[in-house]
Amino acid sequence: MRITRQLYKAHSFSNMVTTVSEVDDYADVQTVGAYLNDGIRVNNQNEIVKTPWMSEFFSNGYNTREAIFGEEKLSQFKEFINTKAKDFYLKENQVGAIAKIGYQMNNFERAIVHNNITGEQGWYNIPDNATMADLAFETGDHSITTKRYWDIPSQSKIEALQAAGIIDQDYTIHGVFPKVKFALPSIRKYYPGDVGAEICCTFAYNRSTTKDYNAYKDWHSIAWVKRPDEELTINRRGNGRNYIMPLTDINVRTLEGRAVPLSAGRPAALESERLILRKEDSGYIIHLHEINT
Amino acid sequence: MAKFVTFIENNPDLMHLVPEVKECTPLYSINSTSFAAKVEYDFKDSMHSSIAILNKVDGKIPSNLKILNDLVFSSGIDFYPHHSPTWAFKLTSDPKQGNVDAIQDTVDEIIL
Repeated sequence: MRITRQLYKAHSFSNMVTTVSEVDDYADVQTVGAYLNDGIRVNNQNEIVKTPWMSEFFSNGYNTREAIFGEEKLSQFKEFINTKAKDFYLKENQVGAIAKIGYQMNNFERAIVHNNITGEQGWYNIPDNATMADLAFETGDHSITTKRYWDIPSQSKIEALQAAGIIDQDYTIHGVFPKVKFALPSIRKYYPGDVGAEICCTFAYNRSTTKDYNAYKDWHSIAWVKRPDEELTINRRGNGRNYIMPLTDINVRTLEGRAVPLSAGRPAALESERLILRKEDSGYIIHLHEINT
Repeated sequence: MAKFVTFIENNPDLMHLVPEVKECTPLYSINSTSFAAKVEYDFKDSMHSSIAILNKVDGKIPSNLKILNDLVFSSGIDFYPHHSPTWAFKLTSDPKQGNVDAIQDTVDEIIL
């Protein structure tokens, strides 16, 4: 196994990119949980807190994350796995959350998370009575495991996600960064299938006058789905700052005809009206832009 | 004290902050071999509380702070300051990101 690390700290991002190669699976890494207090509790849930825009992305393959409740939290665990998904992740009234718009689970997660009812990725057409245990990848004695797929899905899956309103007709997914996270420690594992990159991404706009979670009210995040063998045009959005960050190595062409290679996890400011991505590349491209400007 | 160390051998400019464990408080048992603890880190410029999984000693949850601290550092927990909301917002409060002292590194900014 070979590992290289690169930190990209620019444009208000701080992205630690770990590239692994010659490996099927990479590391059982423990990620600490947030310490719970009432100020960051969401929807009065005991195990869910709000989070700034800090998230881990992967370039390809899939990853699993096992949230550990433990034997002394058995009652909370049983309560959680028996909660109906529509009362939880697909709940719109986010008491204590940022902006309080849309589902607690954002569209990007709904697109890439494993659905155990269908055995495929995508949380859509969820039955009303489906519980968290029904949908999760695995449920242990006192832990629950989710799985996320990072390869660009097949055309038929993209069309199904479009029909469900998760992917737009212009191949964008609105809402990328998680709004909430577990206040529980978890074990993360990555399966790149040979070569892949883990991108630990943090975004906090450094010119904001707001210095807390509410700073994100001025920002919107989208993911572009760059399919193989298709060109994609990325447009600037709004009048404020625009930043893009690919999850795979890509080449972009600006309006002036400049060709610029971008590495996975490297942020760039988008000041041209639009960019064109060539046919040969594929992967998700994260695009953040200011709103309310 | 929290201190910077070289993060990887082939990139001496990339420094990684190893936080000081200020306080470690056992919370609850997870199973026969592990327990959850509240760990309070000092990131040099800010404090950060989190919940970590630690191994029991001889099947018991230790109460000695030194033993608890040793358990934290031997547990392989991901200590990156990226996991601290306090640290993320520190970025917003510093007009020049290069001055953030949690990690000292930057790259040329690309403008497209």
